[in-house]
Amino acid sequence: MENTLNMYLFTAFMLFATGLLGAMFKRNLIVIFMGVEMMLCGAMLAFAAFASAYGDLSGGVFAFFILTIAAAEVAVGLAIITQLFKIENTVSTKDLNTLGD
Amino acid sequence: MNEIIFYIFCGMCLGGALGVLMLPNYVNATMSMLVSMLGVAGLLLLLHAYFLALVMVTVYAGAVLVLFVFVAMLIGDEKDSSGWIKKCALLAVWLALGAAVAKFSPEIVSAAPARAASDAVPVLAVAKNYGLSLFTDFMLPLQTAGALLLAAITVVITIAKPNPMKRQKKEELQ
Repeated sequence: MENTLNMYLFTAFMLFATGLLGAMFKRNLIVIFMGVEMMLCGAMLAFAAFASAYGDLSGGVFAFFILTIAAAEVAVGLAIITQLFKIENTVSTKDLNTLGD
Repeated sequence: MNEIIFYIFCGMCLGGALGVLMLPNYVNATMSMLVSMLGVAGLLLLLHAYFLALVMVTVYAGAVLVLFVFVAMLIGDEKDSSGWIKKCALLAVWLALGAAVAKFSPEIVSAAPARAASDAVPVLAVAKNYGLSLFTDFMLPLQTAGALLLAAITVVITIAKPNPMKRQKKEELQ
């Protein structure tokens, strides 16, 4: 396998791009959130790929931190989403536009 | 052989991610994301980052995805209302991005120094290395992450607690 790093980086980029497209163009808050998670995952994969290619542990430790941040972020975000659903009875960004009016 | 396994995991990873974009039902989309996360864990295994792969499966597939499924089911079967034109446009943009990056991205691999001897244990493989590194070089980020987690827990409890003022008002109205 010659192009290992490039192949992993391509996968990481595509994961990030998918997450970004989801976060930008989907209407549902849960799917937007899953997009953000996928972006974090792509970044983590890139960190791990570079760490593995260069034999340096720092990238691995940063990937570990990304996992921590993602877990904390999911807890807070989903709490906000459920609370929002309790108040507005919807999670679609089409209907949650009171700040934009 | 290694290459075939890589392509399988890569396909799982990207196919699952695409499923999140395309599937109309949110529980299905969450399951699709589970496939994607398992693919990422497999890729981490191929990178010899066994510890990260393990944490990935336990934290993402075990905790985060369960939360997502829980919320998706709590919120009910709201369907994704976006039409097929938007989906086709998203798919086209996705494919175009992939093709463009695959065609024009520079070869980074040549810049990487040669790997350590193949018989040596990869540095990412051993959990002990992470512990040593976290408690020496990365002490400040570790403490900050701890503070962040504490803040997150506090915020979640504050958000989830019913507002006592509101409840009082409701009781007065009744």
